[in-house]
Amino acid sequence: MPGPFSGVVVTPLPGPIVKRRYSVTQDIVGFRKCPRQYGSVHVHDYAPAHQTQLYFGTVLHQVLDRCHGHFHGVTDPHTKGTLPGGGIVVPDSDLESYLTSADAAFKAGSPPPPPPSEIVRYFLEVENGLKSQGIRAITRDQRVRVIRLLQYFDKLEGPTLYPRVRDTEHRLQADQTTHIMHGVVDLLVDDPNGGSGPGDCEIWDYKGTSRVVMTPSDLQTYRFQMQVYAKLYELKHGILPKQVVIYLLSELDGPTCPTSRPVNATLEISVSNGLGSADIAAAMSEFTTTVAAIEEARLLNHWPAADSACISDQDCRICDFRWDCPTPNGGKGVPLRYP
Amino acid sequence: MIPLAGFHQILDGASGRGYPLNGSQRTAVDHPSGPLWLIAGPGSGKSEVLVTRALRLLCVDGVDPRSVLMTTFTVKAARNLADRLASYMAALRTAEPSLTAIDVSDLRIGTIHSLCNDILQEYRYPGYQNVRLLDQVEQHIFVYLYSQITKHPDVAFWRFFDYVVPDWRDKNYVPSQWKRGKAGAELFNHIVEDVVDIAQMKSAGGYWSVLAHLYEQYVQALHSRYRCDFAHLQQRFLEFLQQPTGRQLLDGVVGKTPCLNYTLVDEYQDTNPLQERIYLALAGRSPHNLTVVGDDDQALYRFRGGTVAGMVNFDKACNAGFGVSPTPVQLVDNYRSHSNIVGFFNAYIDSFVEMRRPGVRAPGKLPVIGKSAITGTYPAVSWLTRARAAHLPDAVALLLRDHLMADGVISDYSQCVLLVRSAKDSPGNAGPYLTAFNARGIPVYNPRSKTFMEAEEIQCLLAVLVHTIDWNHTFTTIRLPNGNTPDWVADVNAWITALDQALAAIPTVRHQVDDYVSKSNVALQQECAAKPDKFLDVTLHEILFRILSLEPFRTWRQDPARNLRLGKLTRLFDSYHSFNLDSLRADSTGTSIDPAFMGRFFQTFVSYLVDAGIDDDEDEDVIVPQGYLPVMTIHQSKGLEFPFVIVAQLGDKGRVGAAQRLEHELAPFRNDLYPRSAQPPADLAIEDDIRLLYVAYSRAEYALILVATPAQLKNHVAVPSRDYAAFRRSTQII
Repeated sequence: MPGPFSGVVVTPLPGPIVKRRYSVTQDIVGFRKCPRQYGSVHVHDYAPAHQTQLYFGTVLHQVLDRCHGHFHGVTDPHTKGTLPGGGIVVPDSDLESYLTSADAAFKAGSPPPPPPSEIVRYFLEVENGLKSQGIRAITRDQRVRVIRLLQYFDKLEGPTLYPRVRDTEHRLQADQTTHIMHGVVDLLVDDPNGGSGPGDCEIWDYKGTSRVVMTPSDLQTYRFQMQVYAKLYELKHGILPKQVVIYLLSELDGPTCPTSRPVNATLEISVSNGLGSADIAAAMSEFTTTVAAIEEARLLNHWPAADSACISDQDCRICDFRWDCPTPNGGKGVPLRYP
Repeated sequence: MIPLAGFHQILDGASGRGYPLNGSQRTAVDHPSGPLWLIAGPGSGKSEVLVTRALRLLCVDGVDPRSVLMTTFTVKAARNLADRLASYMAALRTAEPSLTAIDVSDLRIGTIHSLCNDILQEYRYPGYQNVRLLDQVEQHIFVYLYSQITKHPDVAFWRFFDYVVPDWRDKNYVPSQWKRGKAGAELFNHIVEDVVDIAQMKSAGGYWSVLAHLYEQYVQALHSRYRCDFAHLQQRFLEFLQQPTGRQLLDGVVGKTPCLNYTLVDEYQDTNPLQERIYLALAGRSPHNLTVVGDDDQALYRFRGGTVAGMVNFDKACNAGFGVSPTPVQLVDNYRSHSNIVGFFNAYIDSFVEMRRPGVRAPGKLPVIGKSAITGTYPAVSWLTRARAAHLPDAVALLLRDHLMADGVISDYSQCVLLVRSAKDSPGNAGPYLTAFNARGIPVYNPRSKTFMEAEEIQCLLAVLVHTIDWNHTFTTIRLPNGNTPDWVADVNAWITALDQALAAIPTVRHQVDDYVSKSNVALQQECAAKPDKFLDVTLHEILFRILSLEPFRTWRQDPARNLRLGKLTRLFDSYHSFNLDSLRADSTGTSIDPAFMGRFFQTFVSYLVDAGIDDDEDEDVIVPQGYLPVMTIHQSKGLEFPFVIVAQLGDKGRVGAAQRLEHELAPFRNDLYPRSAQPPADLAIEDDIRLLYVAYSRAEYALILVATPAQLKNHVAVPSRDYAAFRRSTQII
């Protein structure tokens, strides 16, 4: 006997095809590094315990963004044209004692004492905000080091860089056949010797790291990221940026503020060394291939562990999912830690 | 910029949405200026209209994307709007390269909470500097730790507010501290979001005055500890809009930022009174370009502070706030459901006298019109019935397996959904259905089959954690100030029993857990001895991940529903971690874990899990795996659609809860913008029940199958209409 719905065949209703947006760093770089970790954190919403690795880079980025706003008088016109650090570097010992008294004030529920500079004030604002996400410094030394680097950068680069900044946290987005790609670049900067057209612009990207600890894989990832940013810029403005500058902030570190930019502090990529059409086409192809792989992983709910050739030991060492992962140590895994 | 006709032509084409808008949709998109009141029935394409309207502003009118703010109810919905905007903008740009300069990523889009937070941070608002924003769990922990309301000992006060205390059994004694904390958070949030006049509440005397003082102490505690909850985030945002810095956002800054000229709000039926004021303030500049979209019949979130009154009375709000009336547009064409289904849910909502009272539905609400491509003479609305309720689950299972699947009507169980009021795996809830599906070999996806704390994987994970850090089971010796053993001790013991049972069922993996626990106990003792009275270099959150790497958790993570819950547990530990309480510490003698640490963990966090109860996530991203039959609550199904919708538990009904009571009780203290009708709580509960089932019925594309015995249908206040005889005559029984 035929059932009540015999003859009915369910077919999908026509509807708009909405393309998913993919971020260069969070999605593409994250998935390329390790699909397993990406799936757990960004698809299944596990909250990582190891947030500390985020602390350093996030504080640097957010405070520097405030420094640019300070120089351009974004929220307070009175600060326009001034350096947030005031051209001075507060010694580490003074920073330590200030942080001690500020912490005591927080614990007592009273307002912190006036900070020794605007950079320190911005630092505390950012750090407080990050605590709500469970992102904290591991040690007092780490906090002092971040402020030290920020002060050095402000003093060394501020006077010449801040006036050239065209935009900060600049969002770029572009359509591809199957997806939308988007990214946020730290700075758009006028070429010091050029005009003000889109072709005279540089993209700057801050990294908290130093050259000496970068692996070839890190370098390749940074270059890939910058090539995609350059392409996104071209798609928006019709022309490539003049160059892309990766600024390695840890190269500034030392007992005193450098008087000139350390030779390893910047990696500059232009048409002659990475922004050629073949280089960019290869990066874009890689982006598209990665999107397809993410879509397939979503469909099958299959998030394989990274190939050990694609991920550094450092990345595995701070991954919460490493304990039953076959990838670390060249495929040998890591011994479980007790507790 | 491009002409309006060309704009529509591009989006109508295959690279855009692929079909033209209907007349009402087009009217809404083309609305020139001033407030727009878009009342949109189910399946009428309201998000499509909102997105197209935003794009028209950018591409036809040349509005700077930074002048547009667009908000919706959940993170998931905001992401969907952003994706859709980007997709259509791409189509427009391809067809018209002159639009390349428009960057939709500059448009402010998100939930109201995320937008308030981002804007206050961006403008460095002094009232929101150096503060930590508390999520819901963190707010509960904060109230527990720092608010006087959790210590308030007057049982008469708690009896007065008993409707906000969850599961309070013996009303001769004050509720547990956690129940007081959670109730306190709910009261405080309502005070803020309902725009209550605290001075008036104080002057009312009695327990209202006590509550007002306790609220003020909570506000002071937030302030002195540099915290902010979601309700106060919105309050501060409204304050910001009235300050000179807020004027910079609204009026723009010459040469830097444009003024904020357009506010578009999706899901407006779930707005709270404070949000209503925020939206009016955002659109304060003439000509008040505020577009609100929603359906009063689908308002579901009174329990989260939302009130349908905002949607129903938008004309009154505009007149009170702007001195102008909004332009009403109704979207009535439904492209989702077979016309018989549309006819059914139209008749359903109209059949209740409760829904015809003034102020309950938007004035002049029109019936929905079926325009779906799905046609056919099959029973699009049917009634699956048996004489006894116990026989219904198997009848549903057989229909799914032996007819829908076997006859090729569906090709995958994920094309159907079973909607229930409670998806819990217990005899009075979805349990009999889950048993029947299991017996008939139908795989089920039901992440809410257990209350969170009843789930085997959660109990087992916590039990291993307890074994690991508390090897002497000191938790059993913890006593309340009155000398009694806390209730949660029994729960922790039950977790340990659950773990034993789970490991007994899979003995091959037992050694993994035992080995981890015994080695960890030894290691911790050694670390304590090496670092007396100092922090040990490990947090509870980190230990959790190590346990997750062991069997059986490793295998359980392959199961979508268990994986969802395990992920949620890591987020709860993350919230606890945000109070900096989860770093292990040795005691002063170096022989064990610091008792103060242990006491805090059990008395604060574990008792929270047990006593306060963990709520389900309302904005979870429901991703139904292929091959599985989804079983979900009606709330979970909001915004989704399925070819076959089976609605069960029709014999049950909603009860008057805290939300309905508070809406009524706080009315005398509320600063209303315009006169609102005040319904008794019982009537509000009936309205909510009717709307809940309206949402369920309107999810169906091909077929809506109601599952109930005749007695269940006859007796229930809201199911499926007041006229049982007419229902029986017109609905085919299967």
